[in-house]
Amino acid sequence: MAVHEEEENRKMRYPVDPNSYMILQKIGCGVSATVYKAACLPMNSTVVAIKAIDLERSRANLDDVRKETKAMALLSHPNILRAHCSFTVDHHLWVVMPFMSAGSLHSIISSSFPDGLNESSIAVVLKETLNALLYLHDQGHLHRDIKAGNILVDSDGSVKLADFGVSASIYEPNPSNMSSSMLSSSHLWFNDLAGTPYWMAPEVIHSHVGYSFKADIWSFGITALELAHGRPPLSHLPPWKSLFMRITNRLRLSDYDKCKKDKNKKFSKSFKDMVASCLSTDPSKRPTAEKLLKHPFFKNCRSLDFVVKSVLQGLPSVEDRYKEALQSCQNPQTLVHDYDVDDNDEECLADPVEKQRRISGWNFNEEVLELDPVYPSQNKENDSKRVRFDGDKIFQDKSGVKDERNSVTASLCEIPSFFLEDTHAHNELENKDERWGKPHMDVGTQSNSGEAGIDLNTEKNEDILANGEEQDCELEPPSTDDTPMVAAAPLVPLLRVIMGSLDDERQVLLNLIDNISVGHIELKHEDQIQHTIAQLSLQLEQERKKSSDLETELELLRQTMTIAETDKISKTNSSVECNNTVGSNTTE
Amino acid sequence: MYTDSSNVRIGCLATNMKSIFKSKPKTPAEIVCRTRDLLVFLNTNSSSTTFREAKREEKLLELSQHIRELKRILYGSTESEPVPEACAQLTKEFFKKNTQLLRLLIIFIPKLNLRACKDVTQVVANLQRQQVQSRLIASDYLDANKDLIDVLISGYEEEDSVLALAYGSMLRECIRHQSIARYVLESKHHMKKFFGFMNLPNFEIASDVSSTFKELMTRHKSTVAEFLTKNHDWFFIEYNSKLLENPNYITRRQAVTLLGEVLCDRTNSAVMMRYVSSMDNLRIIMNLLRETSSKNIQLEAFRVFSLFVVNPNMPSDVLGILVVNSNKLVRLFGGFNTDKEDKQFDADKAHILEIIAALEPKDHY
Repeated sequence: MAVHEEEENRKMRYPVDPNSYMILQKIGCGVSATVYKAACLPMNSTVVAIKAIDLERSRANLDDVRKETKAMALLSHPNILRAHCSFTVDHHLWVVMPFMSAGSLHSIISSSFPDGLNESSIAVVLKETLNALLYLHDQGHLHRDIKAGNILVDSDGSVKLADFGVSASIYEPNPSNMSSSMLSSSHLWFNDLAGTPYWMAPEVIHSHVGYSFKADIWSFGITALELAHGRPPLSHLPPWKSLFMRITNRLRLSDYDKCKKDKNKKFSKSFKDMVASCLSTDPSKRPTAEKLLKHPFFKNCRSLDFVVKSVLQGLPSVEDRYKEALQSCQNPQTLVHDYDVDDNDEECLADPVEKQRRISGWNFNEEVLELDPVYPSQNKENDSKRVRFDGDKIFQDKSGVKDERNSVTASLCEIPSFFLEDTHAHNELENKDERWGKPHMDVGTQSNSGEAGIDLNTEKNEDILANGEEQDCELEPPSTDDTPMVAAAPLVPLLRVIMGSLDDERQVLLNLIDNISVGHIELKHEDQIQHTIAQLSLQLEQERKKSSDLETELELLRQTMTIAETDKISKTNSSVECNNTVGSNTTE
Repeated sequence: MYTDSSNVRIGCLATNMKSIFKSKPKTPAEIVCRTRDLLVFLNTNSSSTTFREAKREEKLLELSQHIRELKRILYGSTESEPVPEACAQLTKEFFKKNTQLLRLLIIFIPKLNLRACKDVTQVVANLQRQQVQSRLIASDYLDANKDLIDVLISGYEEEDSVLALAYGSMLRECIRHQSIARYVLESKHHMKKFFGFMNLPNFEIASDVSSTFKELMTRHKSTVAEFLTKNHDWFFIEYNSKLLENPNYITRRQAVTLLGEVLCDRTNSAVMMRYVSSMDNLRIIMNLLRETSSKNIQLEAFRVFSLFVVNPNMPSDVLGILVVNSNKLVRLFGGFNTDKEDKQFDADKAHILEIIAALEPKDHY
């Protein structure tokens, strides 16, 4: 089946010289790459997409770029975007690809379906994506960046998975990627941090434990949520922050509101079940792509025409969407996913680090089709002691947040310590869970008493187990909270990411200094400097605004906390679970 | 060259293709044998008009299944680790003198579909590292069949990038063997071909060539040093004109990076001393330093340039150029910065600036 298309592709040769292409329009733009719609003149002006990667600005080294183009040339499947050809034009690499006229699912959602797609359409596009994933995994490839922004749709409803910028092959010897012998397939463990934060599986973030194909399945599950809700979980946070949230967490008001709205949206049992299976914290409990394809959710799937009718009709063109996004938003970084330009790692790291509470994983809440955090401390009896003991510390912590904003470095120093301090936020969290409409269980209590939760979904028990297991592989002694050095180990890759961004900022400053010092000598550059100053003051203005926004949010959060606190007291008496928790607290 | 078809075992041919996976599993040797028979069969019957197309398709399918099975034995699967004994048995059979399976596979690759083609590449790659009684028998086989290396190198001439990349990755695995690397290095014909391939417009292929070339120039250090000593003149004339002065940005960037790596290697110190004694070489490197549009090229060129500056036996013509340009150079390096903080680089830069500044009074007489 795929063979025919493949052979056809191999026969059709796109010219490898820039003069054969006529650029029609810009349709996407990131920091180091731009995507154009273009016509290939010698081929009857066939419309193509050209991704122009600036090899001077691209953070990735040439080897990574080479790996991506090679992967794209060697993968062939109807659901995978394959490059027609690639060649360099001065210091840009042009990758010529089929033009997918409806753009990425991310762009479709943000332009026309802010609350998500309907379930039947989700089933169709996910099934197509899953076909691609099955093929990739069968070929020994991990995609490592599955998300709506990398799923492209054509006008006929056909779906292709794109962007192999961070993909990896188990057959490609790369000592830095592999923790064990590359000659065997059963030990396919990768250790490097790759992908986009919101969609990253817990084991990828805790990358010291290694991950494999199942990490793609997690991202697939997050993508399902993204399509259902119009955004991935935690997406209100900047990406690097969402990484912290996966290990450290505090949920926000905006999330609850969103959640309530979504409750009107009914999702089928099979959809919830499918997503739940993908989001199991234990990778080994997640189904393979092959198994997932057999899930009832994908049975009786509608045809591609259905997607055309229910999603694509009346949709603004990719070009118009890009223009609109340009106008409505000053910040070009949000445009990154309009087609499939990816520069996630370059995104805003200017925000200060906020103290967050540590969690060890996520429980998928099937009822509301969202992720709930799991806190490691819940397994530890002695922790409840600390909760009470340090209860009043929470507010102190928060007043500290303001000061941290002054300097990123200052807050960076704080990172190891928030493991210590923020595990005390136990109480508030329970209140929050009540607001989610799902009574929160104290896991430790539950496992001790042997009683199953009263109105917990079936998945819950498994997740508790999974949670326990994950803790094991984190190699954390029960007294984690007292040994920040050990707890900080999984953070090392994240810290590196932040370090990288600091380096970038440093570079920007260095460039500025260079510019200015050059300007001293040659006054010709005065205009340039003025321009830079104007830009800088604009940035400063934006930063100020951001900071004030954050402060308002913080204020709101504090109010919620207070409300939540009172809420909790009133609910404690009526709720069995809370009684349990309180019981265990008082007995200590 | 091919084993003639009378060698084909009738029993092997009669095996029903489905039974191989359903009935009791074949031994690795049997799978190798069957793969060979299929290849011989398909090769000899390719032009036959009497042979039915459907039958041929069936054989092709069986062949790709067998290749997949070979790969499974060598790499294991998600459920099972590869078994060393099975791998050894497979390798031994694969490289048996009259099996010639590697030859048959390499020749048949263009007729395979993408998936089988990739499987072959991975199987061949893996076999280069398999030891039988602590010997890399793949190396022995290739030593006796060096013409296969020629076939692999000309694989880069394929327009189909799938094929070119398949040949390229097999070639890269083969030059892991020192004797094979020496064979390629010592053939001026092959080396000149590489210079041409690196300029292919197709990026996937050109960059694959570059990585093979890099492997060739860096893996077996003593062999490389010996080669460069013997072939210094023509090699660097070609290197300068075909790569460092190439109009193509990516070629220049990769070439100057590799040059720095090769010259800085301690085994190549004699080669380096000779390189930095040439005014022509200096001129080319200084041109690269002036490429303000590419910081990457500038920084890599700086690395090579430093070697000229620190040369204790600097020839007078090289010194003359440095002195004449010292002011310009100092100004240029003032603006040099790496993307990330690099204390080593900053120190090197300061050191080089110092030397250049000191050069001037010494030499104006």
